[in-house]
Amino acid sequence: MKSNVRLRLIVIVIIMIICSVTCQADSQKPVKKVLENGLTVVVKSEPGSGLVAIAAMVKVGVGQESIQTAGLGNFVSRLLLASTRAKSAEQVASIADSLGGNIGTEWERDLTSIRTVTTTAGFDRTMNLIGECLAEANFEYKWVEQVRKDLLSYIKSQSSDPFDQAYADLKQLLYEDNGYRRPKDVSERAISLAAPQDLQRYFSQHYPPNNIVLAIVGDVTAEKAIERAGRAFAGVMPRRLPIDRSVPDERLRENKSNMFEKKLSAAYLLVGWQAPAAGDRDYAAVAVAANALGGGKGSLMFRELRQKQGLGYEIGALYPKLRYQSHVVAYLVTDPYKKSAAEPRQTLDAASAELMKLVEELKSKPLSGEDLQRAKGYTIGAYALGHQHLLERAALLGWAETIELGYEFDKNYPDLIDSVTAADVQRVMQKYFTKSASVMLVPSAKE
Amino acid sequence: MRKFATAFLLLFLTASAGMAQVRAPSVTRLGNGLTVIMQEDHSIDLIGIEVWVKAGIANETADNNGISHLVEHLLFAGTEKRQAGDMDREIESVGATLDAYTGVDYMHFGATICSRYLNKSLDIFADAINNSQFHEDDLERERLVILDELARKQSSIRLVARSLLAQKIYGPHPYSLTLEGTAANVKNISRNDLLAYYREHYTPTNMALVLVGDFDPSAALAEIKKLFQSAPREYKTNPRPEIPPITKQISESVKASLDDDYLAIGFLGPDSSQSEDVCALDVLMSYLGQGNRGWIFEELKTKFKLVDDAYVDFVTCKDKGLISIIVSTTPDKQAKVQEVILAKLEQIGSKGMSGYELENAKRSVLGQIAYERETVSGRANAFGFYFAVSDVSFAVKYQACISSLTAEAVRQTAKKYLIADSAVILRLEPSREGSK
Repeated sequence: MKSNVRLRLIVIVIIMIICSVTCQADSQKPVKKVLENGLTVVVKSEPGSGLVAIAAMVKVGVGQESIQTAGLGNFVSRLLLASTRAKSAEQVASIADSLGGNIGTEWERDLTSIRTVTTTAGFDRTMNLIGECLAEANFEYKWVEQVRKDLLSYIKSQSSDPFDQAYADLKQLLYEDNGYRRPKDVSERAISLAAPQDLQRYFSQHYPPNNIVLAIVGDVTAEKAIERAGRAFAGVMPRRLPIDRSVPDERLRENKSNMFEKKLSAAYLLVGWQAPAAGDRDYAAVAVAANALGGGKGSLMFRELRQKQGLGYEIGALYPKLRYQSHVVAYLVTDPYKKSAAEPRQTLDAASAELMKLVEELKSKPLSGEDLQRAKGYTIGAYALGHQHLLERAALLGWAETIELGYEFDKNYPDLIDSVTAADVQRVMQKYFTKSASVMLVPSAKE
Repeated sequence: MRKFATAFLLLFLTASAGMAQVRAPSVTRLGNGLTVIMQEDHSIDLIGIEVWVKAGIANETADNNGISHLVEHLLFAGTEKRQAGDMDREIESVGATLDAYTGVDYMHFGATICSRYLNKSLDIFADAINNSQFHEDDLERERLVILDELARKQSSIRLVARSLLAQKIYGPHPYSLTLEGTAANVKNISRNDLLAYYREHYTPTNMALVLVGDFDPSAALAEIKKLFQSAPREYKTNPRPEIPPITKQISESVKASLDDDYLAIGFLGPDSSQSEDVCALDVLMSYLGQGNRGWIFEELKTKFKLVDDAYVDFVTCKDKGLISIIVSTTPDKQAKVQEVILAKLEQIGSKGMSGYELENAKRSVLGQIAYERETVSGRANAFGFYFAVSDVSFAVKYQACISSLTAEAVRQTAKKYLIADSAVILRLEPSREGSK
């Protein structure tokens, strides 16, 4: 790192000069451009901070994997910053170091990303580094073995959080066979067996520029950001993409449930329903319905289960924004012996019955005006709060573009939620909250 | 710095420079004396909204120590028109959460909100400031919560050690008191005590409302005037006792409720009006060991294996702040560790830091500040903090102050404050039998 002192000093001086002339122009609307090689660039210029966030997103994630290939995408994502054909891992790290900021990769359900925050002065070099990582990743034996070792040890060290376990079990019940069903990090077999050429093939198939979105937010003009992105990917040609592995819609034909006994001090109840994708016309109404049911301390679940029945240390609802068929999960973590000192199952049965009663009420009559407003406010406010940092803003902009919703989704989200009516909520409750899957985790019998 | 959970290459790097300087916010004093600090930023539809009251531990005595913190806990409990829990629920119903904290010179609370809910949030904040009732049943409930906090605090090495150093260093000055106060005070402070304290200190002239983000200043100001229109009240600042100078090194062994042996070294630092000294100390602390890096970690921990953990801290306060260096080490190594640390501090005071060390430490401080101030609430927090302990302008000039520090200025600051003869050195030993 010491070799970079001079570079750092130069960067500092450059930034200070830039800072001294920085004006406080207003931030601008996002600009989108698809370059000749198919690379999509979305830029939101926000002058003033001296920082730029870049989220480079590849349109391949857990959802696109088959049972045979599960794990390869994760493996490849972790090799992106290991080295490139032109640079060793140390060189990549030292460039990242000298640029300031931080850089990392994410492997998600609908995409793979490199995310970084850099200074305005370091933007060009960061952009070049990202271009090199996404176009020239290195799958030499040495790096593959190093990452394989790290990845397998990471998977083994994963915590066994009871909630995560129950959620993983619930997804197994909700989906018969698709990528979303599988836990994203548990794919030891494919990772153990993958050869460098398998990884190279996967990379060649999924990482052409025409399958990548670059979202850039911060103290850089749209013109400059697009021009630099073009340079970073200059000479990288578009390629034919593999046949789209979309996640097919499924339909629960009957209610399903599982119960597990574990060494726990609390009991867990998770109930899930299949729900529409983020781009579906019913998405907003289901988001409001989920938060009316379990979003926050004003939700129906909190009021009825926690405040009236004294059930639940923790209560909530989840509705992941996914490209394909998603799910709503209502959950409760509770004192297992609240209803019966001997039989924790009774407490969860009581909680489950109360929860189902609330669901039936939401289906049979429209939400009150007050509850509707609260649920909408909670949904809009919580989404807005996910934008506090530049990198969060870049990631949300890029995510919407990557999963084909269009970057405008981010800006339109509050109005989309605000347009939901009580009748919409009742309608989607009737449509989606039909067959459910549930998982209970209860403490093993007292000794 | 934000961490990426699944990142393979994880670099905790600080942004490498002064960044853009923070713009000066507008500061308006309303007719009733309330300070309103505002900064527009329409990058995103968020607003950081905070209230800072100059009422903290420094306003307490040994008899009512803990009252500022108790008021903080009850401020959102109930008013004339809202019951306990209502304010929390209302703020949460717009997707936000309330955050409150009591410091030595202040109490503050705030939230980051979606800008469309500004007026609703202002209404809640104004209600808490103007009409809190401190109901008996709420008070009883919060006493239990704070007693629990007090018990948990006993397990925090940093807090226990800092508190022991503060007692030795500050003597009669209220900075020697603790945040929660004693358990006896928490049990005995009455509703009338709370109301009297609230009426005395929560006056418009003694507080600031800070807004940073996506709003129209004239509309926001009109709403603020309407909601925060309580009559002006004279605020009488009571003079604080002098902090007695330390003329001779204090070195003692103390039994503390810790699991391991610690060495705590404290010095009296500058007050907030000595801005260059404050900036230099921030850089020195960063060099020595803030944020899991620095000299203590590289030399004492990694290279010589003399210490396990270390906490290095200087908090800017209205009066002289506490500089603390707390390290975990075994009893047989304590003398050596003490000698090495004091020798290092003396060396910095005589020879200074190298150019490389200085630039690295400055870069680290600036990177941390850039990250903190990247958000609307980070900036609101900075403006409010400096309003409470110094002046809002300090928040604006802080980065330039750090950037322009010379090696000589840092050396002189070290020589002025980090002197072995005025150090308070505590060897903390576990008090519980067999606690190791």
